[in-house]
Amino acid sequence: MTDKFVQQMKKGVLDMVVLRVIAEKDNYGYEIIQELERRDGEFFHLKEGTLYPVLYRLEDSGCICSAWQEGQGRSAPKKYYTATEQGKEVYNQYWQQWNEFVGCVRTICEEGEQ
Amino acid sequence: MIQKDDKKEKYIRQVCRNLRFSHEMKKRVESDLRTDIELRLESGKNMDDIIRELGTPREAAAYFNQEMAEEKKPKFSGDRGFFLAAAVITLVLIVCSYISSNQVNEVLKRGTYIVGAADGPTSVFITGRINDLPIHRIWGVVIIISFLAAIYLFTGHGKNRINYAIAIILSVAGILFSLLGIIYHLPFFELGNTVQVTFSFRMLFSRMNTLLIWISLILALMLAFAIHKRKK
Repeated sequence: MTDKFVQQMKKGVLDMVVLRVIAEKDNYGYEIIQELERRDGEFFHLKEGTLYPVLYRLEDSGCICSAWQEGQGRSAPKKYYTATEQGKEVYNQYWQQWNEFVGCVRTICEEGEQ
Repeated sequence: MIQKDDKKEKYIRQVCRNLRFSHEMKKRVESDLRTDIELRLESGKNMDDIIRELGTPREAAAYFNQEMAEEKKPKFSGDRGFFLAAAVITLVLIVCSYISSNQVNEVLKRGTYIVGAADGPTSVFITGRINDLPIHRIWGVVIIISFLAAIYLFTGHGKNRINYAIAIILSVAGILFSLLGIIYHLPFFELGNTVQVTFSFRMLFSRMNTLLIWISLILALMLAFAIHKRKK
């Protein structure tokens, strides 16, 4: 039961946390997975199949854009993602709404306890 | 190094083959997956380690399909559907007329010259003596191949330059063959004592139901659309 709950919550915030990571620094998909795991491996241990839909959704909505980076030496070119100005604004809105949401949930649950 | 690349490419190919997405979405996944695998290889992992992490091609593809459920169905736009339907219908008509043209071919093989009277305009149908070369069969085969080439381009293939060039040439050949077929069936008018070849727009438009005209139009539209998409 709790696993499902966590999964649902995670899905709700994935756009925000991925956007945050990309807004800080241009990243490859694999680097995003590693960074999220480094910051919190308990909840955000993502697989590519979970990350890619988020990336494509953000890219289609104009929050991030992708580009190819030429490989150094004999390494192959790689695709990386950059946050757009719109994406950074969207992230700020998400963060503000998230804080308000957490505050409301806390109020409801704590009032019940009182 | 080459073995590692082969294994990597084989893995990516197998994953993409099992994806249930539109062509564009498959390309996106392929590009990201290739980058991810490259980075893992550069960090010192080998393909066996990577396959253990990502799963077998079927497992990885199944996971992608499950997570990207909204992108599973290919986006079927109205105009693409119209063109593809028109192509399929026309192909069926071509095959039917090709089969029935065997009888016409037999008549033409005998080689008949029909000349009208000298007084007044008369439609003159001149059919050359066709040797044993089955011109109508070749025409039909070229048209069918050109349609397949146009569909190949239309569905977003032909990213490779050589394949693209071959498909373009075949499609253009189909259009030219269709136009030649129209010209071949145009009537010649005899004026006075001399046989004068006159192009008649009236006769051309009266033959708008000619399959050849529709084939040319549809092929040209498909080709134009495919080129336009590629330029994007």
